[in-house]
Amino acid sequence: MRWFAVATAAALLAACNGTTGDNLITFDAFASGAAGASQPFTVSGFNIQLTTATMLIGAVYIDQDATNATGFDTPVCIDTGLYSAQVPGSCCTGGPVDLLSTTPQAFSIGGNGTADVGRTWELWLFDPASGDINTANTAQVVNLQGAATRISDGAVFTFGAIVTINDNRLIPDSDPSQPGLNPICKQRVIQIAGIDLQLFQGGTLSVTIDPRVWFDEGIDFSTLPLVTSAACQLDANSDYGTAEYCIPDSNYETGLGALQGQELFTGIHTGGGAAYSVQYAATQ
Amino acid sequence: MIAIGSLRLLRLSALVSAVFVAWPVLAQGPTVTHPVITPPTAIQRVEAHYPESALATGDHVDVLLELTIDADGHVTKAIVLTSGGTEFDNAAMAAAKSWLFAPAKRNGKPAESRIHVPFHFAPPEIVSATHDTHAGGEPDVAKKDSSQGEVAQTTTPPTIPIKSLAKPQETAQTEDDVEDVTVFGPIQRRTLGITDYNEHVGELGIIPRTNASELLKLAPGFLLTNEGGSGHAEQVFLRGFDAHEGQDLEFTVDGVPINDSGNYHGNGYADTHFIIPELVESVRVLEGPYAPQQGNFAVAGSADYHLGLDRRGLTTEYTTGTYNTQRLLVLYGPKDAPPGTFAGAEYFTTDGFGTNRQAQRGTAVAQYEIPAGRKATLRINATAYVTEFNNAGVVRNDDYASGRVGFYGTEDANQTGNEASRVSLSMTYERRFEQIDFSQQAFFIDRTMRLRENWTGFLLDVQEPTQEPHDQRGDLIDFHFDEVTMGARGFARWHGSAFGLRQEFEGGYYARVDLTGSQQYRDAAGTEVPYLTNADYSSTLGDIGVYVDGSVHFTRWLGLRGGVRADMFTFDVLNNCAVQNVANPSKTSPEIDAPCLSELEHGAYREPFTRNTTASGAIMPRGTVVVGPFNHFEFSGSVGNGVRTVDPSYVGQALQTPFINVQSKDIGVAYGSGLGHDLTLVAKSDFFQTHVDQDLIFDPTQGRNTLGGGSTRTGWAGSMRLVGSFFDLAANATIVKAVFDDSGTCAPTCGLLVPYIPDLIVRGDLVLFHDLPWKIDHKSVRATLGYGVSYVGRRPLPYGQTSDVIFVSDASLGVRWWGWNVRVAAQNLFNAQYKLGEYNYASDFHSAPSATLVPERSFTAGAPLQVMVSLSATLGGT
Repeated sequence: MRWFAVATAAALLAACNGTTGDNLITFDAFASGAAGASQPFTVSGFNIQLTTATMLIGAVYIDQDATNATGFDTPVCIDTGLYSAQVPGSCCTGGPVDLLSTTPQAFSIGGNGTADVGRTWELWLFDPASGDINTANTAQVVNLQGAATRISDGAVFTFGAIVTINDNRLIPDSDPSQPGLNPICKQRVIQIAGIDLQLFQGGTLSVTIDPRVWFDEGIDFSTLPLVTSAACQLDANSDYGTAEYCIPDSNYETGLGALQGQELFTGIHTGGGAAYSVQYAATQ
Repeated sequence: MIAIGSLRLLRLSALVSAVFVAWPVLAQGPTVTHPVITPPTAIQRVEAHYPESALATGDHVDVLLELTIDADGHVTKAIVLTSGGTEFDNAAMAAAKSWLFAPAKRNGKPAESRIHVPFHFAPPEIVSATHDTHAGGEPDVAKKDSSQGEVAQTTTPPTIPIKSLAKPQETAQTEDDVEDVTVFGPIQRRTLGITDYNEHVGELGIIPRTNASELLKLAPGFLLTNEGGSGHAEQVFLRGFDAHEGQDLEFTVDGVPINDSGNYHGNGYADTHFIIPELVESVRVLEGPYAPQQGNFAVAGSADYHLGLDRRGLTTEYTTGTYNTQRLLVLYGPKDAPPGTFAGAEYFTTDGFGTNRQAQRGTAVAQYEIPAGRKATLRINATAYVTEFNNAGVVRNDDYASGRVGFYGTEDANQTGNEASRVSLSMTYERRFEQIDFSQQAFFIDRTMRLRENWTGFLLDVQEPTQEPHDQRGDLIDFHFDEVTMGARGFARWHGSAFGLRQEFEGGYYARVDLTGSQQYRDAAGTEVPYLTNADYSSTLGDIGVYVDGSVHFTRWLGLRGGVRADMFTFDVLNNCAVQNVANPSKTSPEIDAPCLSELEHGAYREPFTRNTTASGAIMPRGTVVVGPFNHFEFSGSVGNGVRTVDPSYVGQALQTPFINVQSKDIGVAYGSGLGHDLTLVAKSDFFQTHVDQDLIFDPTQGRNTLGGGSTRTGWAGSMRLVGSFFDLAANATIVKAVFDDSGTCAPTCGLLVPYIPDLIVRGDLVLFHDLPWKIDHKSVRATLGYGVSYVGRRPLPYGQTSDVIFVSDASLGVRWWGWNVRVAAQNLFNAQYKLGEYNYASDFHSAPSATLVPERSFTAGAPLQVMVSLSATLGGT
């Protein structure tokens, strides 16, 4: 019994020490545009100058699991137990993120989580004030204005783009046995893989978004409908500023410029690490 | 000349039988915590007259009577055991019924008893006359009472003096004066050393306790929390175990099981609220699995409530207090019946503090304890209990900090409609033979419960591909359990002598069958309509246990107690919702939104249920070595194995071991002594270590405990109880460290801590009682003042966090006059705002604009100051 007595005495001496492992953390969170986003850029035969670029971020989540890098497994959108950190509020305090500014803009609330490693992360594009991620949500998650000059002939197309994510983006059911395979949340959540983010107490989370990457799908500005056309009046609150043309706010519009709405949304949704980056560093 | 029958008591050999006192005169260690029995003593005797009709024979005749003496010392019954003939029998009984005794006492309280009294009738002798010079008469023949050696002189006409002692006095009964004392009460087990706490409630009963579970705090190391409402079983922490709602503690009431088997919410769930606290005479807590009598769920130990009503007569008590709390209690104990005969009924209602804590309950219990022949007792108990209550659940720390929810508020006000019920019937027959004590018990229990709890808010109802698109519908768990239990237990204990010392050997059994049903659904927020089935089990569970237990004393200071127990567990589990998802559902006949599917891959049909059956056994050796007493010190060391069965959801076909294994050891010292001036002291110090191969960890997302990895607890427990003529002081402390086995090579002295286990628990209770210096109507007025304090150190929480400390006091002041009693009791005397339970886990009660998916601190609030005023009256009792 000697070892028992020794072990007991040692355990009692150490009774007040020890941990259950891991740790809870809180942190600040900011978002900004990428450097150079306010400068002209060339893609698919057009020189593009953005004059307005904003994005409404509903929430950010950092995931522990890397296996969802390429898409969603069952269940859809939310997989409890997956998350290590969150910023469960919108960005930003004063409105959507100005993507043409590199100035950090604060989220409406701080972030919290556990001191784990993040392998993937998620951007939720919706207005939390409207309710659940799956409820109808008419918020304008992206607002773009600018001018695209066709390199071949110098034709200028001033354009505007309003992006909402509702039935206009919903993936149709293709499998009657799985009616819930493509709920609207799937279109509202952008998942980006390939990060290795060690979280700790008191750090700062910085999200950077480069809107230029969204155009890599190849928008043909010459086919865009006029802002006065029905295709540009899908949203009652559409405001394209001084633009002459619009990129339709739908994946399923027909007619002139029908594909461009889907192209833009695809660019937003699949921009990946090129369009979206996150950093976590000690607060300066 | 009239012969006077004489009475001469034979020299009586004495042996206080071991019927009631488990560890009596042989003093195998500190006995103060065990019932202390003092036999009755005759203070007024009346001689029996030699029947005149038998004078001619001049025979010497012996008559043996059995007298039943009530708690007042009166002889209520006389039975002839050995007849000397009708005339002599009648003469002996006539005399005996006039005797007056100082009654037997159990722990200082008068108790009914039975004694054997022999009468020897000797014919009177005729001696030579002596001269008497008193005036007026011829001298009479002096008569000699040969039994008393006295010479009695009378004048004519002769009289027959009724002799009594010169004055009523207590003659100190010694072993030589009493042949056999039988005090009513159940057969008790002998002490098992330092881990054995047989706590008589006594005066400490004045400390306010809302339910019987709180009486457990008389033993060291108990922490009780409750996150589920006043009708929900308490969460019990003991010796480093989060015994949850009783899963790691075997609860019984006079041997009748309390733990549920097959309860999906928690296998071993033990709701003790059906026990009326005023009917608890003592609680025996065995910490650790060291007694072969301990069965399933005795991982941290076992607790047996012994019921009895010392306060005889009809007692009615009305209590009212804060939060519109009211309680009506009626107790009845016939005056000439033992404490084990009683009836009680209780109605309780409260609005509860804060939000969503309303509750009401009704309890009725009747127990009848009657002699069944010589040295036998039959005890029948019937109990009925129902309760309905609301549940406040947990509060998120960030919601409280932001003011969205109050400290005593609730995140989900729909946690209503909880209920529980229990109906039980038990019969216990005990008989003491020459060298064998025999006990046989049969019981029947019917239990139901419904719990509605919401731990996670709107987190778990994630979108599944086989569901129609939906929002989060809410995580309100709606759980229902029903159980019918039938069983029996019994033992035969031989006691004899070897090495000049008492030796014992016991063989016993335990048999239990449970027919159970567990269903758990999730109810939609707003409509409260079930939208998902989590579980649906119908089970038949069996437990057959056999044990042998010996108590061998090699010398007066060295004893070995222990034996071996074998249990066989059988499981027949029907999972009525066996298939809840398939990777490739049927495309032509999909089961949309169905929680319990009838298909295999690609739509192949199967029944939605699955039956699993398995059985397994465990052999568990247990033993204790006791060394002492030496100058009132006793040392003991114990080792033992135990088991706890798993709930039906874990039972797979032919699962080999449907239970977890426990290995435990203890070593320590106890001191017990009378200190003079009516002071008695018992103190214990004990080191322990317990290992389980699969721990139970609370999973808030499931609202229940789930199996985890192995863990080890190492710690120390200390306790003391000092009892005097005007006070009763009890204190205890426990330090423990609980670590997971897979957390490094330095375990168990280091490693990852098991969450929720408090590292330090301290509890103290003090009661002062004394008669006030004035009387009313020549009757004493007795005042009682009680104070209790609890301290719980920081508890480790998941994610490297620690809880707040808890420091709470309770107090009570009472005045008793004759049969009337007024009491004021305050719980949480200083109105401390404290978090009774604290947790770190993910939940989403819409605390933030978007879903909250990561762990956050949540807590259950401890009760604020509650003041109760009670008025009771006892009529027709002592």
